Amino acid sequence: MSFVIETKDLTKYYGKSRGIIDVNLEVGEGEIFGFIGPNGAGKSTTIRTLLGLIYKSSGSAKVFGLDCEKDKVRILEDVGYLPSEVFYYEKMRAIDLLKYSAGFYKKDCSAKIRELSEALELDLNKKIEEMSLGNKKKVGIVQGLLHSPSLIILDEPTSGLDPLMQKTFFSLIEEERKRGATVLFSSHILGEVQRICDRVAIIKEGRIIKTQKISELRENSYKKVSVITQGAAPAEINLPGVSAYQAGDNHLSFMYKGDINALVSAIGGYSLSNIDITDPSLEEIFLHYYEV
Amino acid sequence: MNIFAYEIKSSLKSALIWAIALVAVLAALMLGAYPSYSDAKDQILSLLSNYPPEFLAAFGMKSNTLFSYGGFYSFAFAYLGLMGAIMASSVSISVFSREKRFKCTDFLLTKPVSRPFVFFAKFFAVLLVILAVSAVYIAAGIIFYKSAADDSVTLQRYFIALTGFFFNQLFFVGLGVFYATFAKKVRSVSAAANAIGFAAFITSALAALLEDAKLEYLAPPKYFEPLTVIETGSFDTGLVAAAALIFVLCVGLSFYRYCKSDTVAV
Repeated sequence: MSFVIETKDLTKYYGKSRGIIDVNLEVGEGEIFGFIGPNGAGKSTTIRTLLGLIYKSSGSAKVFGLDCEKDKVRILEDVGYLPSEVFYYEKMRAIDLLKYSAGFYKKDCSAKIRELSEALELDLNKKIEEMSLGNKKKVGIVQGLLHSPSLIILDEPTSGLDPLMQKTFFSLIEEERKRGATVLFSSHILGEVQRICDRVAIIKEGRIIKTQKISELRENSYKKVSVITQGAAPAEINLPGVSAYQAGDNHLSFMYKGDINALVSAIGGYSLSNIDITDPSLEEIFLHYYEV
Repeated sequence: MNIFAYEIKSSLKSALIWAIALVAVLAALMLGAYPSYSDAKDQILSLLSNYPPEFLAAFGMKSNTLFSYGGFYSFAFAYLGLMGAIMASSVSISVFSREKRFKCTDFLLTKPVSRPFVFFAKFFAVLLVILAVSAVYIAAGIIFYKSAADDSVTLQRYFIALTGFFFNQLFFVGLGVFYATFAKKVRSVSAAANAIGFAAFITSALAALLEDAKLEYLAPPKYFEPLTVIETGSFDTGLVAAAALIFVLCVGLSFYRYCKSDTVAV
């Protein structure tokens, strides 16, 4: 199988500081591949190496089978990138920036610019400096997708977007995938990755600690359960898969991994005022599941 | 072409203002001040005699040359050259620090262009801007020469002296590119350009004040001093070589840094 992204023992040090160590990634064609880890884990370093923005210390990084450093220009002809924080030439109007961006590709991007900006409700005549963070992000999305790239690299793309726009954004990414694009989606929000990705790599302290299918992640993932009882909270719950159990006067919380029906049955035995079953934060997952 | 055109467009307005300002100052000095100066030679000489010679030397006022057209241009060049230096530094710092200032280096360097291509697109854009401004300056200088010059300097020598303005600017482009590439942050283009220009002006004044020929190698405005051309027909070879060496070093090191360094994440 040929991979769109392939890294072997990719390592990057900033002087003596650790960036990433022996990162091995294989992203197949047409895949939406999640890349998840807490801040400072090495997600952006990996992405920046793939884009030729920084130079690796050792190992190899290939995109479309081409070397990320030697063949950077050929690779970038077919890559769209949306960084976590978007900054552009402040004095430019959005339309001028997008035309400038489109000028780097050997194709007419005007129809795509119009289509994307309409979907995102973006005012193209506004100057970048007059835009809110969310609108700047929309400009970023359009400039990343305007040339219909084969590989889309998204580094924490949803920050600054309201929930409604996040929904629109995810449907745009789905559209791109249907068109045949491969997506590398970096995030520290598990729910986002679970929402659209096929597979996920989890990175911690510069090393990939697990790569798995989202379906496997869901099966193995913990839920965070918080309950408020009408009477005194039980001192313990006799249910396999419960951990980090904490109980107060009339409230209790715990992490749960296992059959969700068994959980509902067990809790259903008590008289409840409220119940929250949520995805734990990434930090909590690392604490309870990926503690390595 | 895309980057080159964008940089030219971004620098056009300030280049136009600089060109107008330079021609205006050149006209004011060579068409306005010079005839009055030469007409009032005796009064001015008596006025200058009240000042210490070191002070006059520091400001380029040599009483033996000040009253000829070529000598007066050489005096004027101390200030016109400073303006040119500030302009050249400003344009080069502005162009080469644009992405740094707007924190959008990632935007440009994730486009399908190599870093050497970006560097040279920017470099040639700066070059074209200073070439255009210098051309206007030289053309104006020749026009003013024809209407106001005496026979103390031939047109040929005066033309060579005028070209010194371009080479002086070119030298400061090197310094500007170096600063923009190596500085971690560029907060204000004009502050940096003024600092470079005035630092050079002060070293030049010091070299004149101390009358130390070796110090001239550290004084950029001396590299293409018009008086040398007017008196000998050419620039000082040693000083030109020093300027060329510093320029090549500045641009070469900047190119290496631009192409080989990791871009800093925002």
